[in-house]
Amino acid sequence: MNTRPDGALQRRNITDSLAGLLIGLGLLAVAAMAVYLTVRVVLVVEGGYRGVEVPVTLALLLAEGFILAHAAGYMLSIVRALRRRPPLQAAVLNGDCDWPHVDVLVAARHEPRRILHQTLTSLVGLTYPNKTIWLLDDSSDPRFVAEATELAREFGVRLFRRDKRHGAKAGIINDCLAQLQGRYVAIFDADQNPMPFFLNRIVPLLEADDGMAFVQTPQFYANITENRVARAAGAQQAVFYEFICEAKGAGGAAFCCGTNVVFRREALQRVGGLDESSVTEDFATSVRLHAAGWRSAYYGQAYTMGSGPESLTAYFRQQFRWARGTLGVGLRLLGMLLTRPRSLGFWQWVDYLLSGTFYLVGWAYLVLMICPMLYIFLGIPSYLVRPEIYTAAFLPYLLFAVGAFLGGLRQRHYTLWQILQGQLLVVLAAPVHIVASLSALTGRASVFGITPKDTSGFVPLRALWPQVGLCVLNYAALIWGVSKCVFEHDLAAGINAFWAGAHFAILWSVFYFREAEPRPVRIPGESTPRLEVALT
Amino acid sequence: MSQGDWIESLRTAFRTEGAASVFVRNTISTLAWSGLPDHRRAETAERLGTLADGAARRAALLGRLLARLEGKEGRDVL
Repeated sequence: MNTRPDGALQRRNITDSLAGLLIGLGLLAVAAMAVYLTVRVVLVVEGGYRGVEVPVTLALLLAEGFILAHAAGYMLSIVRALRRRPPLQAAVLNGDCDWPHVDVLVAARHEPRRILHQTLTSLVGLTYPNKTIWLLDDSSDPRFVAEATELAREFGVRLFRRDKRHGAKAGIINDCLAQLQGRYVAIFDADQNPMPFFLNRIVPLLEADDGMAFVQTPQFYANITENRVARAAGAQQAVFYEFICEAKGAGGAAFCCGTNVVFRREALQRVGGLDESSVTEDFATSVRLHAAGWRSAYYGQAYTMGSGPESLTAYFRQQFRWARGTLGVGLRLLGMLLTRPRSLGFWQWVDYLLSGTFYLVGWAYLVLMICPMLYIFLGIPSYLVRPEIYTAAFLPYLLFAVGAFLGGLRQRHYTLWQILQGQLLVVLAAPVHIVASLSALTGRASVFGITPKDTSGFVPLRALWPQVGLCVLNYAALIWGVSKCVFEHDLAAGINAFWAGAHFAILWSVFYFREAEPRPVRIPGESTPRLEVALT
Repeated sequence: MSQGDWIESLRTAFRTEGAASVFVRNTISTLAWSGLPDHRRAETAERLGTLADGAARRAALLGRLLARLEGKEGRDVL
């Protein structure tokens, strides 16, 4: 088969000098982080902490170590993504008969008609010549069942239903997979709208490499202009889809993200279909495929647009599901690392372990917020250091890491305000991540709702009590710390007050995000989906 | 050309216009990360928005025509 290089992803619009600068900053940041961590460990060992100070100090060291490890992973992602590498190969497909058959699956359960209508409009608009579009309807509510039947008939797409529910989205896809014959399977969520040429660009990449199990493309939110939560969530996604995914893809080990992905059917079936044991079946299935020796690619082009969560409630539900599922798989990965260390390559292990543990970040943020308050309110120190040592160790790390992080995203045209909004939202989700991690660690059944697409109104403050409570405590610590600094000349209290003030400002954003913005007009008769899924 | 062929052609045109409207609107949202200055972005969005509105209007007209041809007037077609 003839192939040609696909140059779409080659160091996207970046000059060699800028790429070199970002790579240099990334490497310097990693080195500075290593120095900082070493200094921190030495300071803890020689700090002479006593009694209750010891666990507090160790907790802070652990939290900082966790953040440093993930920050270093991100810096190395920038380096790996921007290094020169050979382009992906794409098969040259000419006549219509060359194009292998693709089954396009869109799974839906209780999706508003408006959203499904738009998605089916996009799917029937795909210009790929040899395809079958399937609407996998898992609805139980008669109204949604009737709507899905009507939409499938009107758009001329195949409708698939099943008698017995199992495994949520992964389950219905697996059930449908058993009767498919095409070489490839494209999967889209019910709110994702691919561009007309989507399959024409992705299928040739799979055709060129028999060992490639899937090609993943990014998700971009189309509702970012009218909604601030969606906008911030989109910016947060960008951190993942830009350099992290590109770095994973550069090593032939991109993760599947559950939608906007084209699978080789044979690969999927060889590993037993999508992994139904996890709520993040995409992540779990990626591990299976890579452990079985399949490769994957990430194609970082905005070829599909979708809807982001439009309220804090919807965002927190989404985050809970991702955190619960990813941490569950992360725990399995730790077991796999001990029993089958050779099942994945070095960078695959690094990437999977970083992703599988990322959502523990909620604990790290909690510790970072509590420590200054403990010093100000109770006089418990957790970080004893001379100012000159602190400055010499902390400043290079801060400058290089922030420089590489912001420089990389600015090069991709994200504004500082967008990046900041995305990061604020991660901090606000810390309590959700903590609850999800407890659920994953204990294996207890948990309940969450699916992400609604057309919610409106304010989130009640009582539902945000962890964020609001921490905000109030940090404000009190700020005032008390400044008073101690001014009236008692306690410099350490002043420094801790600075951090309490920073945390207060970050948490204050909860009021920004809970504020309602203009929403799309709700179609009469459409309701917010109320599906509750029990995790066992 | 039979009436069935006519209707199928109209349906294809209707879907194409509908899809064009969705694609162009989605493309407008990507302008947020285009790196264009605000005024250029607004200008481009407005022009693309006109294109999307045109496609949506044509889709609506074709939808009404289809409804009339198929005797479904007064019902929500697609």
